[in-house]
Amino acid sequence: MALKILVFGQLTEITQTSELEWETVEQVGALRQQLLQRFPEMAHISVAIAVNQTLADDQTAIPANGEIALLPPFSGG
Amino acid sequence: MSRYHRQIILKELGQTGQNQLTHAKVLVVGAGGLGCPALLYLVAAGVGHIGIVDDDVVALSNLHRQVLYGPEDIGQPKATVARRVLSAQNPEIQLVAYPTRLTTANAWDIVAPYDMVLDGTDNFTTRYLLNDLCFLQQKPLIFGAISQFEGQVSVFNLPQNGITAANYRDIFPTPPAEGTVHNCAEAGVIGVLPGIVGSLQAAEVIKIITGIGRPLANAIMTYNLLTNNSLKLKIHPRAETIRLIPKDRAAFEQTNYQLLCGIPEKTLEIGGSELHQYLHRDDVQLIDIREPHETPDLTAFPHQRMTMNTLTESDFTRPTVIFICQSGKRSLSTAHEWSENLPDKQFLSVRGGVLAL
Repeated sequence: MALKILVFGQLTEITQTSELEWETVEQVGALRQQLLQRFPEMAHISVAIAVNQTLADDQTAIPANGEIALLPPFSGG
Repeated sequence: MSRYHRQIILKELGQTGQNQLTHAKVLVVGAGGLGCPALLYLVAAGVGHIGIVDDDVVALSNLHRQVLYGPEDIGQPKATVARRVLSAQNPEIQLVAYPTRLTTANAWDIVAPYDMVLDGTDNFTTRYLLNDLCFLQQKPLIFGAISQFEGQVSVFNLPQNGITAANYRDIFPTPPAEGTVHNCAEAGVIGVLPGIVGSLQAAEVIKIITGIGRPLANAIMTYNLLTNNSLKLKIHPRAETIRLIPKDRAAFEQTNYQLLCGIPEKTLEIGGSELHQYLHRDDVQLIDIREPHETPDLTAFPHQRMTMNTLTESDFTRPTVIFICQSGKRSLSTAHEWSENLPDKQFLSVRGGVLAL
């Protein structure tokens, strides 16, 4: 089963897309590690991760077919 | 016929809602891209008491999105101009201008008389400061922020049906490192985006005051102008968040939000090549703060020589002041010290000092 990852803001400059397909992974912490491996530049940006439209912690479980969102902070006004 | 007739006939709002708006006190921090549209609609809706905080002046490059200002206002304080323009739009309400930067020294007393705060700022230093202050004073904070074609909107510190309210630190616990997040000046922005996001913030304020609808409490909404996609994400208050927020007024006033946002060290220091670039500008002054006996003399650049202990405010005649010393240590601490004392000027230090040039 694949996960859908929605990417927001300047993170799309790193991923080069606003939507990623990802292999199933059990926990948010593990997903974060995998993302950093594929996109090392993400290490320099704070990223909030949501699972099925709810902000998650590293311990949060990711259900199969879950929808992930990667949200960076915006400062502009 | 009341000027508010068209909103009073909404049965959800009614005269009761209009009276609530009349008695409400809202502070808008930042009268820029987000603040201008938010202010226009809050004023027009008849929110009775509105404060406007902004220490900036109007610039030509603001006009494509900061719709309260015109070319004749360039160089004037935004808070003062906004107050004048908005008073003309609605003379029935009270408007107060605070043409000053919100700092830990003045923020507590500025915010205290208001019911809620609208965050229209453009930097993390003020955003985290406001978040913590509104948490401590338990005031709803209506958050809005933009990046290129996307926006974020949320309402913090507004308990819903007994559920504890989330705040910004429940999403982003600590500020990102300085320079890792784009701002409008670097990354660009289309004017209508803050127009939309600021209007959404104004709508949240009106909903909270009148108790209609479901404000974005414990949720953050993202909006993409290019795709018209929007997404609402739930936020849960985290137990750890409270430890990141100063515990009371005294602790808040001692917090250095600039430092937390990583502004010193990284940005106060410039290298030799940057020094060359700075000295091409005519708003920069270079001061060698070494003792008179220290050599080698600095001959490559026009500069003044004044020892660090004799410096006074009147020595800084230009907006940007660059200090240089032998190794870069004394000049960095001097730049920090003066940045604290005179936040309106930019103080920099040459990394490695004269020896590194």
